[in-house]
Amino acid sequence: MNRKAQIRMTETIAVLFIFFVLILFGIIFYYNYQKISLVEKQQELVASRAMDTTLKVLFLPELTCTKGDSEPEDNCFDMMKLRHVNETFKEYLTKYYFHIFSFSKISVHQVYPYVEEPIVLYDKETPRKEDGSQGWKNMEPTFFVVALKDDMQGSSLSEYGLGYVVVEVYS
Amino acid sequence: MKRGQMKNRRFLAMLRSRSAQMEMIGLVIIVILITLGMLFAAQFALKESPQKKIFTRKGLSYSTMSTIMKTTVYEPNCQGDFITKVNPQIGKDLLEDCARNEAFSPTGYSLYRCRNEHSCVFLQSFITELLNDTLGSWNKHYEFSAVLIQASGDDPKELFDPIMAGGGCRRKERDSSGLFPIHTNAGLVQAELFLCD
Repeated sequence: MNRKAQIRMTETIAVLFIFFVLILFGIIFYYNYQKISLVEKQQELVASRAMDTTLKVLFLPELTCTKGDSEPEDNCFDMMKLRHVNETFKEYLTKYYFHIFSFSKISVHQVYPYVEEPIVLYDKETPRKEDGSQGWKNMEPTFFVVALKDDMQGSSLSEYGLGYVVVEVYS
Repeated sequence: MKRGQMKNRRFLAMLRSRSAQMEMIGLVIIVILITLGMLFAAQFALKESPQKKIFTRKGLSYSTMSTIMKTTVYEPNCQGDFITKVNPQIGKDLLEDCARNEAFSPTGYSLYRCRNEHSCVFLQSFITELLNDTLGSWNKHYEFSAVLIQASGDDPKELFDPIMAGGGCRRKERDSSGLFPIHTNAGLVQAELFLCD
């Protein structure tokens, strides 16, 4: 009888052991899932911020093309505004533009007619850490193709180049 | 004596039924754990592609297409009839000219002769360059096509071979810029850009 009880005890312990091993597997799986989903969520949030910033840039009156009093043109930047907007951005960076763009970099690259140097409109990096290392871990770039309207070409009609805007969000 | 035996048997039967119950509970717990695991797996498998990504793809294809249509061509030898230096626009001038003189492509007459090429030939190479420098450099797969519909009920006729990168976007999850229609004397020109991952 004593032996039987011992066998039963061992059996119960084995069953309990397997049960806890299963629970442990579940916990490990859940932990890994949470870890991955947290990283994914973080990336999604950064991508979402990048997208929102891009949309703000695309519809910024300081940059968009207009035809007199009519509605602004879709996906179009006015080169005359682009050439000078940097000064305005710098002047009102902390008072106004930082609240719109936060820590990000906005640049416009001209593809046709080709211009090598991009026009950097806004660049505000996350402040460096106390040890002097870089203040950001990830940078999410978003690209959008835009028309670059140039009325300084001497023609009576507006002429359009092709470029793209890159919005890089620091996180 | 008989009574004692009966009691023992009953006790053993009770013990057996109890252990059977315990085993049942164990089985139920295992089934619950497996179901939970499968639910997790299903959650992984049925995760939808993020809406943001689709929106970006759609927005990017539309912005690319509308920009290409507006782009002015500054080629040094871009000649029009009787005019030595012109800066035609892709959508308004060159696509229309290509549709009107499509029958004479690739070596015959066209009003605009940028790089000394027929407007259809020039458009194909020029749009390829523009797309390569933008979408291509970001490793996006795309497919650009322009068709001419001469009369209602007619089959659309390709103005030039579709421009694609990464094998195009057929049989893939893709987003379209939407149709960009242009009315010309030759018929209706419809240009479209597909973007896929």
